[in-house]
Amino acid sequence: MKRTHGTAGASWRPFGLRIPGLVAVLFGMGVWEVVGRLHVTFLIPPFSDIVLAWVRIAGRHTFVDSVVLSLQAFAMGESIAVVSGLLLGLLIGRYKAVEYFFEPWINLFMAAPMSALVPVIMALAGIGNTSIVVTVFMFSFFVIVVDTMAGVKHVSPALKEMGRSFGASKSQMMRKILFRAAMPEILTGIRLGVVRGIKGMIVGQMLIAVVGFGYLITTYTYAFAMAELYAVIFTVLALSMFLSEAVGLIERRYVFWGRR
Amino acid sequence: MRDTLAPKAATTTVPTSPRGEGILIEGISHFYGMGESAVHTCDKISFSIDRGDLTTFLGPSGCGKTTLLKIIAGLITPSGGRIVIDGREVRGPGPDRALVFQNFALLPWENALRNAAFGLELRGVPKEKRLKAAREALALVRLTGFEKAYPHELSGGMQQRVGLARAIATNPQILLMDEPFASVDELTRRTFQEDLEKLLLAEKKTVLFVTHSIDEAVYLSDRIVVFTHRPARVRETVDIAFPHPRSEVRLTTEFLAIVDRLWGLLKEDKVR
Repeated sequence: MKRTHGTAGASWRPFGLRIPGLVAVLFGMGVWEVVGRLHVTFLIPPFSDIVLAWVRIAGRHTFVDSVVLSLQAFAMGESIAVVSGLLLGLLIGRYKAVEYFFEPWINLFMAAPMSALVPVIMALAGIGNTSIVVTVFMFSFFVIVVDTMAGVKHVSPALKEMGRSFGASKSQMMRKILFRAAMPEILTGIRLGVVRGIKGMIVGQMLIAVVGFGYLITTYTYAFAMAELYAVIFTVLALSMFLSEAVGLIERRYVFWGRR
Repeated sequence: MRDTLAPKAATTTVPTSPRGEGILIEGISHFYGMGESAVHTCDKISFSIDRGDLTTFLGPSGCGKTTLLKIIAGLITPSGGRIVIDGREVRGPGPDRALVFQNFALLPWENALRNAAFGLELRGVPKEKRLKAAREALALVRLTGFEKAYPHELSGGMQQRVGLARAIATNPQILLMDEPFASVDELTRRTFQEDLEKLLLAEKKTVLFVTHSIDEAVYLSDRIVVFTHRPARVRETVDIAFPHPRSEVRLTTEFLAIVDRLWGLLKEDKVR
Protein backbone atom coordinates (compact mmCIF):
# COMPACT_ATOMS: atom_id res chain seq x y z
CA MET A 1 0.00 0.00 0.00
CA LYS A 2 2.47 2.57 -1.07
CA ARG A 3 1.00 5.93 -1.75
CA THR A 4 2.79 9.15 -2.29
CA HIS A 5 1.73 12.52 -1.10
CA GLY A 6 0.14 14.64 -3.72
CA THR A 7 0.87 17.65 -1.61
CA ALA A 8 4.58 18.17 -2.01
CA GLY A 9 4.00 19.64 -5.46
CA ALA A 10 5.89 19.23 -8.68
CA SER A 11 8.95 21.36 -8.99
CA TRP A 12 9.63 23.30 -12.15
CA ARG A 13 12.73 25.44 -12.40
CA PRO A 14 12.95 27.57 -15.51
CA PHE A 15 16.44 29.04 -15.89
CA GLY A 16 17.29 27.59 -12.48
CA LEU A 17 14.83 29.90 -10.77
CA ARG A 18 12.82 28.62 -7.87
CA ILE A 19 9.19 29.43 -8.35
CA PRO A 20 6.89 28.98 -5.39
CA GLY A 21 3.83 26.77 -5.90
CA LEU A 22 1.63 29.71 -5.05
CA VAL A 23 2.50 31.26 -8.42
CA ALA A 24 0.62 28.45 -10.18
CA VAL A 25 -2.44 29.17 -8.07
CA LEU A 26 -2.23 32.91 -8.74
CA PHE A 27 -1.80 32.22 -12.45
CA GLY A 28 -4.97 30.10 -12.45
CA MET A 29 -6.86 32.86 -10.66
CA GLY A 30 -5.59 35.37 -13.23
CA VAL A 31 -6.84 33.28 -16.14
CA TRP A 32 -10.19 32.90 -14.38
CA GLU A 33 -10.35 36.66 -13.87
CA VAL A 34 -9.67 37.36 -17.58
CA VAL A 35 -12.22 34.78 -18.77
CA GLY A 36 -14.74 36.25 -16.34
CA ARG A 37 -14.12 39.80 -17.55
CA LEU A 38 -14.68 38.69 -21.16
CA HIS A 39 -18.27 37.81 -20.14
CA VAL A 40 -18.20 34.51 -22.03
CA THR A 41 -20.99 33.18 -19.84
CA PHE A 42 -22.64 34.30 -16.64
CA LEU A 43 -21.66 30.90 -15.19
CA ILE A 44 -18.10 32.19 -14.88
CA PRO A 45 -18.01 35.48 -13.00
CA PRO A 46 -14.64 37.21 -12.63
CA PHE A 47 -12.57 35.80 -9.81
CA SER A 48 -12.56 39.11 -7.98
CA ASP A 49 -16.38 38.95 -7.82
CA ILE A 50 -16.11 35.59 -6.08
CA VAL A 51 -13.70 37.02 -3.53
CA LEU A 52 -16.04 39.96 -2.93
CA ALA A 53 -19.01 37.58 -2.65
CA TRP A 54 -17.09 35.57 -0.07
CA VAL A 55 -16.38 38.70 1.97
CA ARG A 56 -20.06 39.62 1.69
CA ILE A 57 -21.52 36.29 2.81
CA ALA A 58 -18.81 35.24 5.29
CA GLY A 59 -20.22 37.41 8.04
CA ARG A 60 -23.82 36.33 7.60
CA HIS A 61 -25.57 34.11 10.11
CA THR A 62 -26.60 31.59 7.47
CA PHE A 63 -23.01 31.12 6.40
CA VAL A 64 -21.50 30.90 9.87
CA ASP A 65 -24.26 28.58 11.08
CA SER A 66 -23.79 26.37 8.03
CA VAL A 67 -20.07 26.06 8.60
CA VAL A 68 -20.49 25.27 12.30
CA LEU A 69 -23.26 22.75 11.67
CA SER A 70 -21.29 21.05 8.90
CA LEU A 71 -18.12 20.84 10.94
CA GLN A 72 -19.98 19.38 13.92
CA ALA A 73 -21.55 16.64 11.81
CA PHE A 74 -18.23 16.00 10.11
CA ALA A 75 -16.26 15.84 13.36
CA MET A 76 -18.77 13.43 14.88
CA GLY A 77 -18.97 11.07 11.89
CA GLU A 78 -15.25 11.22 11.22
CA SER A 79 -14.20 10.44 14.79
CA ILE A 80 -16.50 7.44 14.92
CA ALA A 81 -15.11 6.29 11.57
CA VAL A 82 -11.49 6.68 12.70
CA VAL A 83 -11.92 4.87 16.03
CA SER A 84 -14.07 2.02 14.76
CA GLY A 85 -12.19 1.74 11.45
CA LEU A 86 -8.93 1.42 13.32
CA LEU A 87 -10.27 -1.24 15.66
CA LEU A 88 -11.85 -3.33 12.94
CA GLY A 89 -8.80 -2.95 10.71
CA LEU A 90 -6.48 -4.13 13.48
CA LEU A 91 -8.69 -7.13 14.22
CA ILE A 92 -9.04 -8.11 10.56
CA GLY A 93 -5.31 -7.78 10.06
CA ARG A 94 -4.60 -9.91 13.11
CA TYR A 95 -7.24 -12.63 13.19
CA LYS A 96 -8.06 -14.89 10.28
CA ALA A 97 -11.58 -15.55 11.55
CA VAL A 98 -12.45 -11.86 11.68
CA GLU A 99 -10.93 -11.43 8.24
CA TYR A 100 -13.04 -14.26 6.88
CA PHE A 101 -16.31 -12.73 8.03
CA PHE A 102 -15.64 -9.09 7.30
CA GLU A 103 -13.33 -8.82 4.34
CA PRO A 104 -15.90 -9.55 1.58
CA TRP A 105 -18.19 -6.89 3.02
CA ILE A 106 -15.42 -4.38 3.38
CA ASN A 107 -14.38 -4.95 -0.23
CA LEU A 108 -17.98 -4.62 -1.37
CA PHE A 109 -18.43 -1.30 0.38
CA MET A 110 -15.02 -0.07 -0.79
CA ALA A 111 -16.12 -0.55 -4.38
CA ALA A 112 -19.70 0.63 -3.89
CA PRO A 113 -20.72 4.08 -5.11
CA MET A 114 -21.56 5.42 -1.67
CA SER A 115 -23.88 8.12 -2.98
CA ALA A 116 -26.30 5.38 -4.02
CA LEU A 117 -26.58 4.37 -0.39
CA VAL A 118 -27.46 7.81 0.83
CA PRO A 119 -31.23 7.37 0.31
CA VAL A 120 -31.04 4.17 2.35
CA ILE A 121 -29.26 6.03 5.12
CA MET A 122 -31.98 8.66 4.96
CA ALA A 123 -34.66 5.99 5.28
CA LEU A 124 -32.90 4.46 8.28
CA ALA A 125 -31.68 7.51 10.15
CA GLY A 126 -34.33 10.03 9.15
CA ILE A 127 -34.05 13.44 7.64
CA GLY A 128 -31.75 15.24 10.00
CA ASN A 129 -28.28 15.71 11.28
CA THR A 130 -27.96 12.03 12.29
CA SER A 131 -28.13 11.08 8.65
CA ILE A 132 -25.31 13.47 7.84
CA VAL A 133 -23.18 11.96 10.59
CA VAL A 134 -23.92 8.45 9.29
CA THR A 135 -23.11 9.51 5.74
CA VAL A 136 -19.76 10.98 6.78
CA PHE A 137 -19.07 7.72 8.60
CA MET A 138 -20.03 5.54 5.65
CA PHE A 139 -17.87 7.49 3.23
CA SER A 140 -14.85 7.50 5.50
CA PHE A 141 -14.94 4.22 7.43
CA PHE A 142 -14.01 1.62 4.81
CA VAL A 143 -10.83 3.14 3.49
CA ILE A 144 -9.56 3.43 7.06
CA VAL A 145 -10.37 -0.24 7.69
CA VAL A 146 -8.68 -1.37 4.49
CA ASP A 147 -5.50 0.64 5.04
CA THR A 148 -5.20 -0.35 8.70
CA MET A 149 -5.74 -3.98 7.77
CA ALA A 150 -3.10 -3.81 5.06
CA GLY A 151 -0.71 -2.11 7.46
CA VAL A 152 -1.07 -4.83 10.08
CA LYS A 153 -0.74 -7.58 7.50
CA HIS A 154 2.46 -6.11 6.14
CA VAL A 155 4.27 -5.86 9.45
CA SER A 156 7.57 -7.66 8.98
CA PRO A 157 7.47 -11.27 10.23
CA ALA A 158 10.85 -10.64 11.89
CA LEU A 159 9.32 -8.02 14.20
CA LYS A 160 6.51 -10.37 15.18
CA GLU A 161 8.99 -13.15 15.78
CA MET A 162 11.13 -10.80 17.86
CA GLY A 163 8.10 -9.92 19.97
CA ARG A 164 7.23 -13.56 20.49
CA SER A 165 10.79 -14.49 21.38
CA PHE A 166 10.81 -11.93 24.18
CA GLY A 167 7.49 -13.24 25.41
CA ALA A 168 5.10 -10.52 24.19
CA SER A 169 1.51 -11.07 25.28
CA LYS A 170 -1.32 -10.75 22.74
CA SER A 171 -2.10 -7.24 23.85
CA GLN A 172 1.57 -6.21 23.89
CA MET A 173 1.95 -7.58 20.39
CA MET A 174 -1.02 -5.51 19.25
CA ARG A 175 -0.18 -2.27 21.06
CA LYS A 176 3.58 -2.19 21.03
CA ILE A 177 4.37 -3.84 17.72
CA LEU A 178 1.54 -4.25 15.20
CA PHE A 179 -0.21 -0.94 15.83
CA ARG A 180 3.01 1.06 15.79
CA ALA A 181 4.46 -0.71 12.78
CA ALA A 182 1.22 -0.22 10.84
CA MET A 183 1.18 3.51 11.62
CA PRO A 184 2.27 4.70 8.15
CA GLU A 185 -0.63 2.88 6.50
CA ILE A 186 -3.06 3.85 9.25
CA LEU A 187 -2.32 7.55 8.83
CA THR A 188 -2.63 7.27 5.06
CA GLY A 189 -6.02 5.63 5.61
CA ILE A 190 -7.11 8.42 7.93
CA ARG A 191 -5.99 11.09 5.48
CA LEU A 192 -7.97 9.48 2.67
CA GLY A 193 -10.85 8.92 5.08
CA VAL A 194 -10.96 12.62 5.96
CA VAL A 195 -11.18 13.64 2.31
CA ARG A 196 -13.93 11.07 1.68
CA GLY A 197 -15.72 12.15 4.83
CA ILE A 198 -15.97 15.71 3.58
CA LYS A 199 -17.36 14.38 0.33
CA GLY A 200 -19.91 12.41 2.35
CA MET A 201 -20.80 15.49 4.35
CA ILE A 202 -21.60 17.53 1.23
CA VAL A 203 -23.46 14.69 -0.52
CA GLY A 204 -25.48 14.04 2.62
CA GLN A 205 -26.31 17.68 3.12
CA MET A 206 -27.51 18.02 -0.44
CA LEU A 207 -29.45 14.78 -0.76
CA ILE A 208 -30.84 14.14 2.69
CA ALA A 209 -31.34 17.30 4.58
CA VAL A 210 -30.82 20.59 2.89
CA VAL A 211 -28.65 22.00 5.64
CA GLY A 212 -25.16 23.37 6.11
CA PHE A 213 -23.04 23.69 3.00
CA GLY A 214 -25.67 21.71 1.14
CA TYR A 215 -28.22 24.39 1.96
CA LEU A 216 -25.91 27.18 0.81
CA ILE A 217 -25.00 25.41 -2.41
CA THR A 218 -28.61 24.59 -3.24
CA THR A 219 -29.85 28.09 -2.42
CA TYR A 220 -27.22 29.93 -4.45
CA THR A 221 -27.58 27.52 -7.36
CA TYR A 222 -31.31 28.07 -7.63
CA ALA A 223 -30.81 31.80 -7.31
CA PHE A 224 -28.13 31.69 -10.06
CA ALA A 225 -25.90 33.58 -7.66
CA MET A 226 -22.77 32.20 -9.25
CA ALA A 227 -20.23 34.32 -7.37
CA GLU A 228 -21.69 33.27 -4.02
CA LEU A 229 -21.92 29.65 -5.15
CA TYR A 230 -18.22 29.60 -6.07
CA ALA A 231 -17.38 31.32 -2.81
CA VAL A 232 -19.04 28.44 -0.92
CA ILE A 233 -17.41 25.80 -3.09
CA PHE A 234 -13.97 27.31 -2.56
CA THR A 235 -14.63 27.38 1.17
CA VAL A 236 -15.34 23.65 1.10
CA LEU A 237 -12.25 22.99 -1.01
CA ALA A 238 -10.07 25.00 1.35
CA LEU A 239 -11.49 23.16 4.34
CA SER A 240 -10.92 19.79 2.74
CA MET A 241 -7.36 20.66 1.82
CA PHE A 242 -6.63 22.08 5.24
CA LEU A 243 -7.84 18.94 7.05
CA SER A 244 -6.05 16.54 4.75
CA GLU A 245 -2.86 18.60 5.05
CA ALA A 246 -3.17 18.57 8.83
CA VAL A 247 -3.22 14.76 8.81
CA GLY A 248 -0.41 14.81 6.27
CA LEU A 249 1.64 16.91 8.67
CA ILE A 250 1.12 14.41 11.48
CA GLU A 251 2.05 11.70 9.01
CA ARG A 252 5.37 13.32 8.10
CA ARG A 253 6.13 14.11 11.72
CA TYR A 254 5.31 10.70 13.04
CA VAL A 255 6.48 8.42 10.28
CA PHE A 256 10.01 9.78 10.22
CA TRP A 257 11.64 6.45 9.54
CA GLY A 258 10.30 6.18 6.00
CA ARG A 259 7.83 3.89 4.41
CA ARG A 260 8.54 0.26 3.83
CA MET B 1 37.19 -37.14 -1.36
CA ARG B 2 38.48 -37.41 2.13
CA ASP B 3 38.74 -40.61 3.98
CA THR B 4 39.36 -39.28 7.44
CA LEU B 5 35.76 -38.40 8.02
CA ALA B 6 33.20 -39.93 10.28
CA PRO B 7 30.44 -41.94 8.62
CA LYS B 8 27.71 -39.94 6.96
CA ALA B 9 24.93 -38.60 9.11
CA ALA B 10 26.52 -40.18 12.07
CA THR B 11 25.29 -39.99 15.62
CA THR B 12 21.92 -40.64 17.07
CA THR B 13 23.54 -41.19 20.43
CA VAL B 14 22.61 -38.67 23.06
CA PRO B 15 25.50 -37.78 25.29
CA THR B 16 24.24 -36.30 28.52
CA SER B 17 26.10 -34.22 31.02
CA PRO B 18 26.16 -35.79 34.46
CA ARG B 19 24.11 -33.09 36.23
CA GLY B 20 21.55 -32.72 33.46
CA GLU B 21 22.85 -29.22 32.77
CA GLY B 22 23.16 -27.64 29.37
CA ILE B 23 21.01 -28.12 26.32
CA LEU B 24 19.85 -31.49 25.09
CA ILE B 25 18.59 -31.84 21.55
CA GLU B 26 16.74 -35.12 21.34
CA GLY B 27 15.67 -36.55 18.01
CA ILE B 28 14.43 -33.28 16.57
CA SER B 29 12.62 -33.62 13.26
CA HIS B 30 10.78 -30.92 11.45
CA PHE B 31 8.69 -30.50 8.32
CA TYR B 32 7.54 -27.22 6.80
CA GLY B 33 4.07 -27.38 5.32
CA MET B 34 1.68 -30.27 4.99
CA GLY B 35 1.22 -33.39 2.90
CA GLU B 36 3.30 -34.11 -0.16
CA SER B 37 4.65 -30.60 -0.56
CA ALA B 38 6.06 -30.63 2.96
CA VAL B 39 9.74 -29.80 3.17
CA HIS B 40 11.82 -31.93 5.45
CA THR B 41 14.14 -29.49 7.23
CA CYS B 42 15.49 -31.40 10.22
CA ASP B 43 15.91 -35.14 10.45
CA LYS B 44 16.22 -36.74 13.89
CA ILE B 45 18.90 -34.38 15.12
CA SER B 46 20.42 -35.28 18.46
CA PHE B 47 23.37 -33.79 20.32
CA SER B 48 24.06 -31.91 23.49
CA ILE B 49 25.54 -28.55 24.33
CA ASP B 50 27.52 -27.83 27.46
CA ARG B 51 26.81 -24.86 29.59
CA GLY B 52 29.10 -21.89 28.92
CA ASP B 53 30.18 -23.15 25.51
CA LEU B 54 29.88 -21.31 22.26
CA THR B 55 28.52 -23.81 19.81
CA THR B 56 28.24 -23.01 16.14
CA PHE B 57 25.74 -24.58 13.77
CA LEU B 58 27.57 -24.72 10.47
CA GLY B 59 26.01 -25.82 7.24
CA PRO B 60 25.09 -24.79 3.72
CA SER B 61 22.55 -21.98 3.34
CA GLY B 62 19.00 -23.13 3.80
CA CYS B 63 20.02 -26.45 5.34
CA GLY B 64 17.69 -26.15 8.32
CA LYS B 65 20.14 -24.90 10.95
CA THR B 66 18.14 -21.72 11.52
CA THR B 67 15.02 -23.85 11.92
CA LEU B 68 16.79 -25.85 14.62
CA LEU B 69 17.83 -22.62 16.36
CA LYS B 70 14.25 -21.36 16.30
CA ILE B 71 13.03 -24.68 17.67
CA ILE B 72 15.46 -24.25 20.56
CA ALA B 73 14.23 -20.65 20.93
CA GLY B 74 10.72 -22.05 21.28
CA LEU B 75 9.42 -20.15 18.26
CA ILE B 76 8.85 -23.27 16.18
CA THR B 77 7.30 -26.47 17.48
CA PRO B 78 9.18 -29.47 16.09
CA SER B 79 7.30 -32.26 14.32
CA GLY B 80 9.15 -34.75 16.50
CA GLY B 81 11.66 -34.90 19.35
CA ARG B 82 12.25 -32.47 22.17
CA ILE B 83 14.61 -29.87 23.55
CA VAL B 84 15.61 -30.08 27.19
CA ILE B 85 17.38 -27.19 28.91
CA ASP B 86 18.78 -27.87 32.38
CA GLY B 87 16.42 -30.79 32.76
CA ARG B 88 13.30 -28.94 31.65
CA GLU B 89 11.58 -29.43 28.33
CA VAL B 90 11.17 -26.37 26.09
CA ARG B 91 7.54 -25.53 25.40
CA GLY B 92 7.91 -22.00 24.06
CA PRO B 93 10.05 -18.90 24.35
CA GLY B 94 11.37 -18.20 27.84
CA PRO B 95 13.43 -15.65 29.75
CA ASP B 96 16.37 -18.08 29.91
CA ARG B 97 16.94 -17.55 26.19
CA ALA B 98 17.31 -14.46 24.01
CA LEU B 99 17.54 -14.32 20.25
CA VAL B 100 19.66 -12.08 18.03
CA PHE B 101 18.16 -11.79 14.56
CA GLN B 102 19.80 -11.92 11.18
CA ASN B 103 17.93 -8.82 10.02
CA PHE B 104 18.22 -7.09 13.41
CA ALA B 105 14.42 -6.81 13.91
CA LEU B 106 14.65 -3.38 15.53
CA LEU B 107 11.67 -1.11 16.02
CA PRO B 108 12.20 1.72 13.51
CA TRP B 109 10.15 4.17 15.59
CA GLU B 110 12.24 3.79 18.75
CA ASN B 111 15.78 4.97 19.42
CA ALA B 112 18.68 2.66 20.24
CA LEU B 113 18.15 2.92 23.98
CA ARG B 114 14.46 2.04 23.83
CA ASN B 115 15.16 -0.73 21.37
CA ALA B 116 17.77 -2.19 23.69
CA ALA B 117 15.23 -1.98 26.52
CA PHE B 118 12.40 -3.51 24.52
CA GLY B 119 12.94 -7.12 25.62
CA LEU B 120 12.72 -6.01 29.24
CA GLU B 121 9.74 -3.79 28.45
CA LEU B 122 7.83 -6.80 27.14
CA ARG B 123 8.67 -8.59 30.37
CA GLY B 124 7.16 -5.79 32.40
CA VAL B 125 10.37 -4.39 33.91
CA PRO B 126 9.78 -0.82 35.22
CA LYS B 127 11.03 2.00 33.02
CA GLU B 128 13.93 3.27 35.15
CA LYS B 129 15.30 -0.19 35.66
CA ARG B 130 15.06 -1.32 32.08
CA LEU B 131 16.60 1.86 30.68
CA LYS B 132 19.50 1.45 33.09
CA ALA B 133 20.04 -2.14 31.97
CA ALA B 134 19.75 -1.07 28.33
CA ARG B 135 22.32 1.68 28.84
CA GLU B 136 24.73 -0.84 30.34
CA ALA B 137 24.11 -3.31 27.53
CA LEU B 138 24.74 -0.61 24.94
CA ALA B 139 28.01 0.19 26.69
CA LEU B 140 29.00 -3.48 26.50
CA VAL B 141 28.50 -3.50 22.74
CA ARG B 142 30.40 -0.19 22.49
CA LEU B 143 27.46 1.98 21.52
CA THR B 144 27.67 4.54 24.30
CA GLY B 145 26.79 7.93 22.82
CA PHE B 146 24.34 6.45 20.31
CA GLU B 147 21.45 5.95 22.75
CA LYS B 148 19.31 8.59 21.05
CA ALA B 149 20.00 7.46 17.49
CA TYR B 150 17.22 5.79 15.52
CA PRO B 151 17.89 2.57 13.61
CA HIS B 152 17.75 4.30 10.21
CA GLU B 153 20.55 6.59 11.37
CA LEU B 154 22.83 3.67 12.28
CA SER B 155 24.94 1.43 10.04
CA GLY B 156 24.07 -2.25 9.68
CA GLY B 157 26.80 -3.27 12.10
CA MET B 158 25.63 -0.77 14.69
CA GLN B 159 22.03 -1.88 14.28
CA GLN B 160 23.10 -5.42 14.99
CA ARG B 161 24.95 -4.22 18.09
CA VAL B 162 21.65 -2.77 19.28
CA GLY B 163 20.04 -6.14 18.57
CA LEU B 164 22.73 -7.84 20.62
CA ALA B 165 22.34 -5.28 23.42
CA ARG B 166 18.60 -5.96 23.51
CA ALA B 167 19.31 -9.66 24.02
CA ILE B 168 22.04 -9.10 26.61
CA ALA B 169 19.93 -6.60 28.57
CA THR B 170 17.48 -9.37 29.42
CA ASN B 171 20.39 -11.25 31.00
CA PRO B 172 19.65 -14.63 29.45
CA GLN B 173 21.59 -17.79 30.22
CA ILE B 174 21.55 -18.73 26.60
CA LEU B 175 22.19 -16.41 23.69
CA LEU B 176 20.82 -17.61 20.37
CA MET B 177 22.34 -15.89 17.37
CA ASP B 178 20.87 -16.43 13.92
CA GLU B 179 23.52 -15.50 11.35
CA PRO B 180 23.99 -12.18 13.14
CA PHE B 181 26.74 -10.98 10.83
CA ALA B 182 25.20 -12.07 7.55
CA SER B 183 23.85 -8.60 6.75
CA VAL B 184 26.96 -6.56 7.57
CA ASP B 185 30.09 -5.93 5.52
CA GLU B 186 33.29 -7.92 5.97
CA LEU B 187 35.23 -5.28 7.89
CA THR B 188 32.41 -4.68 10.34
CA ARG B 189 31.99 -8.39 10.61
CA ARG B 190 35.60 -8.88 11.72
CA THR B 191 35.54 -6.18 14.40
CA PHE B 192 32.17 -7.39 15.55
CA GLN B 193 33.47 -10.95 15.88
CA GLU B 194 36.37 -9.75 17.97
CA ASP B 195 34.09 -7.64 20.15
CA LEU B 196 31.70 -10.53 20.59
CA GLU B 197 34.57 -12.77 21.61
CA LYS B 198 35.72 -10.31 24.30
CA LEU B 199 32.20 -9.77 25.49
CA LEU B 200 31.52 -13.48 25.83
CA LEU B 201 34.76 -14.03 27.71
CA ALA B 202 33.57 -11.50 30.25
CA GLU B 203 29.93 -12.58 30.39
CA LYS B 204 30.25 -16.37 30.25
CA LYS B 205 27.05 -17.32 28.54
CA THR B 206 26.00 -20.36 26.62
CA VAL B 207 25.87 -19.27 23.01
CA LEU B 208 24.37 -20.98 19.98
CA PHE B 209 25.52 -19.39 16.80
CA VAL B 210 24.22 -20.10 13.32
CA THR B 211 26.51 -19.32 10.41
CA HIS B 212 27.55 -20.53 7.01
CA SER B 213 30.97 -18.89 7.32
CA ILE B 214 33.60 -21.50 8.15
CA ASP B 215 36.17 -18.92 9.20
CA GLU B 216 33.70 -17.29 11.56
CA ALA B 217 32.77 -20.64 13.04
CA VAL B 218 36.36 -21.63 13.74
CA TYR B 219 37.22 -18.21 15.09
CA LEU B 220 34.40 -18.06 17.62
CA SER B 221 33.45 -21.58 18.60
CA ASP B 222 34.31 -24.02 21.31
CA ARG B 223 32.47 -26.60 19.28
CA ILE B 224 31.18 -26.71 15.73
CA VAL B 225 28.26 -28.87 14.72
CA VAL B 226 28.37 -29.45 10.99
CA PHE B 227 25.03 -30.15 9.32
CA THR B 228 24.24 -31.87 6.05
CA HIS B 229 22.10 -30.20 3.41
CA ARG B 230 18.33 -30.41 3.80
CA PRO B 231 17.11 -32.28 5.67
CA ALA B 232 19.68 -31.24 8.24
CA ARG B 233 21.43 -34.07 10.03
CA VAL B 234 24.49 -33.85 12.21
CA ARG B 235 27.41 -34.51 9.88
CA GLU B 236 30.10 -34.17 12.45
CA THR B 237 30.94 -32.40 15.66
CA VAL B 238 34.31 -30.66 15.84
CA ASP B 239 35.83 -29.29 19.03
CA ILE B 240 38.00 -26.21 18.70
CA ALA B 241 40.60 -25.95 21.42
CA PHE B 242 42.41 -22.66 20.67
CA PRO B 243 42.65 -20.40 23.67
CA HIS B 244 40.76 -17.09 23.61
CA PRO B 245 41.29 -14.39 22.47
CA ARG B 246 41.96 -15.77 19.04
CA SER B 247 42.78 -12.74 16.92
CA GLU B 248 46.39 -14.01 16.68
CA VAL B 249 45.33 -17.50 15.69
CA ARG B 250 43.57 -16.70 12.45
CA LEU B 251 46.59 -17.30 10.23
CA THR B 252 48.24 -20.20 12.01
CA THR B 253 48.51 -23.50 10.18
CA GLU B 254 46.41 -25.25 12.83
CA PHE B 255 43.57 -22.75 12.32
CA LEU B 256 43.76 -23.08 8.57
CA ALA B 257 43.90 -26.86 8.81
CA ILE B 258 40.60 -26.91 10.67
CA VAL B 259 39.06 -24.47 8.19
CA ASP B 260 40.23 -26.72 5.40
CA ARG B 261 38.87 -29.81 7.05
CA LEU B 262 35.45 -28.21 7.57
CA TRP B 263 35.48 -26.98 4.01
CA GLY B 264 36.03 -30.57 2.92
CA LEU B 265 33.10 -31.74 5.00
CA LEU B 266 30.76 -29.16 3.52
CA LYS B 267 32.02 -29.61 -0.01
CA GLU B 268 31.57 -33.34 0.06
CA ASP B 269 27.99 -32.82 1.07
CA LYS B 270 27.41 -30.49 -1.88
CA VAL B 271 28.92 -32.94 -4.35
CA ARG B 272 26.94 -35.84 -3.06
